[in-house]
Amino acid sequence: MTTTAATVLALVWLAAGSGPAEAHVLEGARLFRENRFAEALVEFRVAERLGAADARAYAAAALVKLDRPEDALELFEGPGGPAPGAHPLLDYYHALACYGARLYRCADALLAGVGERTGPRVAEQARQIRRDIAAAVPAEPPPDSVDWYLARAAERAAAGRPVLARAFAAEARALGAGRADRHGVAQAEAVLAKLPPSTDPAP
Amino acid sequence: MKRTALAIAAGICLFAPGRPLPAPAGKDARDAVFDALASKADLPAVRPVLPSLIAERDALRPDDAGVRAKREKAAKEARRSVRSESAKANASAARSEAARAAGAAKDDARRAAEKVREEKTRKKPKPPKPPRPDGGGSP
Repeated sequence: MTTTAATVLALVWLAAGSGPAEAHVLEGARLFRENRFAEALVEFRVAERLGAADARAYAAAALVKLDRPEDALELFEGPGGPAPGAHPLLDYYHALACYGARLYRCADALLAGVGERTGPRVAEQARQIRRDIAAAVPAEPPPDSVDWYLARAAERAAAGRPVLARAFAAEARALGAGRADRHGVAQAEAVLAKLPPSTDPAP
Repeated sequence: MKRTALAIAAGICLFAPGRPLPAPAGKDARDAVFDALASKADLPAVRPVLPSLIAERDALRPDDAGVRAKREKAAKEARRSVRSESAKANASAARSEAARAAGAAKDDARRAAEKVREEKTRKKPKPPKPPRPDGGGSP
């Protein structure tokens, strides 16, 4: 009897534990739908603090809508962020964050995995963005552009934002690798080696 | 013994500071969020423009002959590869990006912390009123 009662109480506690966090997620969703992204962001942040593990990704999506792609990237790619492929819509927003930060290779790779799983409208948008990126990023990009990404990586590393530094250095490496002279690849790898090891986002 | 076990379980329920491990939101909440996310998943407002270190430095420096020459060269390249409207939008975004990001991140953290604090204060249980002695109080 005692065991049963204790189990029931523990279950009640576990069920009740998700209540407040879930209420904030629901409120965030409502605000997001009404284009009130700043308020939605606060709700998702509160839900995250109350224990809703996936609210971090929703907060990142709100940051994308607030035109703060670098802040969004830090949530998507930092510890506790969603793993790529976990949900196609999160991948779409993650790609928009990369795109906003001018990490076009990063955006393209994520959009390639979105496919049709998000429905026809978003899938067509993903294809459109990929076409635009293909037109804007030449197979052999100018060295000056690779240097831009390297400079940005160094700036972000100096500012104590290793997630962003890693993203910019990886982009520089990918772009430089497309050139015959592999301009910037060695520098990008040197930057990456100096950064703390990346913590893989939660599966 | 039974009473002690029950009291401990009840105590955990009432006074536990929070859940020990983060858990995903429930299915209803997840569905609501993904519906909202899908409804607002738009195309980016600007077309992609591959950035250029020379063009960016050029935009931040005062005019001189060398810089002007570099600017003209960069502008010519930009005209070839991108639409001028999106180039302008991207350049202006690059200039304001740093200032905006620093302020906004602090603001979010502060607002979320305030809200959590507010909720904790609101949810504190009121202490029970002491029982009135018989016949005491107002006449």
